Amino acid sequence: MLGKLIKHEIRATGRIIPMFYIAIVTTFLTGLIGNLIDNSYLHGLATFLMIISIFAINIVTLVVVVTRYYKNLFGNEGYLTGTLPVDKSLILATKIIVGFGWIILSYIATAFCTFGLLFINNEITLELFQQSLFELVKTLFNEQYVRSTIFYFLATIIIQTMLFIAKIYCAITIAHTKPFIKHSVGFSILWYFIIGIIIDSIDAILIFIPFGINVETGHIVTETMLSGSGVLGLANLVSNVIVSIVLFLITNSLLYSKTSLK
Amino acid sequence: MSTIVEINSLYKSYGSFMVLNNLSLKFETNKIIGLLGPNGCGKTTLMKILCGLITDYYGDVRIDGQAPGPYTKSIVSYLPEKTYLSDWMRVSDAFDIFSDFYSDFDRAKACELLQRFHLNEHMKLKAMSKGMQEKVHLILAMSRSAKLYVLDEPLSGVDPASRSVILETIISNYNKDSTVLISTHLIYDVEQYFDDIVMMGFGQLIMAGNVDQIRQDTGKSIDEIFREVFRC
Repeated sequence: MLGKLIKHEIRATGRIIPMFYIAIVTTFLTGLIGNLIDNSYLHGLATFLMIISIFAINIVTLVVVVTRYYKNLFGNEGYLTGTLPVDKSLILATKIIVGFGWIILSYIATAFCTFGLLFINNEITLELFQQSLFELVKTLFNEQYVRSTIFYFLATIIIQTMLFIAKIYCAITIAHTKPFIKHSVGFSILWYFIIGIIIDSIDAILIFIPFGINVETGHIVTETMLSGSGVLGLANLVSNVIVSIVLFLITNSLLYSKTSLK
Repeated sequence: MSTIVEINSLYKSYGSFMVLNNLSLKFETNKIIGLLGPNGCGKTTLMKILCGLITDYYGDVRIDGQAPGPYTKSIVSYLPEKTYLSDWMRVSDAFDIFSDFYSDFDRAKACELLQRFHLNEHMKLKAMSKGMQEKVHLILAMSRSAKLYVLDEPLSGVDPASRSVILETIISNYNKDSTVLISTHLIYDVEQYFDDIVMMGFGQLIMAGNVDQIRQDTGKSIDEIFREVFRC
């Protein structure tokens, strides 16, 4: 059932976002052609559109992920979603998986746009890019601090994305419980900020917990980020994973017995 | 005859307004049941509870012996008051969803009904009138071989000619071993089809029973009784 749910979720959310990916590739090719034929108009247009695309793809992805959850569970579409003979936790899992996938794709598209901008503005050449990539891969496997930093950075992106989705879904779901349902849009926004403030407060305290990774050795150490000796904090990452799981569990529990369609 | 729905001491409120107040009911199989009552009496709320759309209620609700959940949803076919399909969908997209999730969905029957309504699978919901969209929703509900059909106001807002087509579609397509629960204000048009009625008012059960028996006992039609009970 999860596979079928994901298939229909991708079909529903995949009508708008891929258009932007096609637009990005088209813009990039336009910029390259502009460079090849030395047409400054094409080149300028491509640069402008590439910058717009970076903002557009991220905003559109967020809007699609948020509105899909809201409409599909609590809007008129909820009459279908809510009567499908599947466990509600599977429906929530589908929204998490597909939403997460689209947001990660938007990050990759942002990175592509940034490289694209450098390419079409001749800030970087294909040879230089290949060489840099080769150097990066070589360094990645030889230098511990690069490897640790990149893995830490990637883990942070993944965990923060998951936390972001958890906050949004939880806020929207709380806003559809009995005390808040009359003004669900307003309360969704309010709960998002309340949850955010609570998590930020926890994070601020956890900075002082002596638990981190030394990027030069790759070892777990009992030092804080503030020690200034190449330590990146792990307490925040671990707490964000736990908070994400707790928020998903709260959302799931509310979906089971505390939410209603208007 | 067995019981398909059993409700005991059901309470549901919206804020301070108690919409269902200690409601207890039983629906038997192989019946067409009219759920009657004025606006705001809790008909739609009761139907949403049966379909598993409202979960924050108090009391015991059993459908085929089980509390609302994935199993009951697999045997209940629901036609809500509102249209729930997205504008971007084609009819075939809706059929795909029903084929994937409801094992009792008969796609061939759905296509046949579509043709009868002069519609086709490739039409976009966005390009359809409200009446056409309602017909698509009716087709989806009636193309399932469910144990319980829950039809919320299927006749509201349609012209008299469409009304008889919709009624005929319901009567000729439901699974004959099942129970059909129809809520309506247009009692005069449909009371001839009802085996039983459940009349609700002010969140409580006012009257329930066999239509012929009620007519015989009171010497009045169900429509007349309704007008008398709910006269302002």
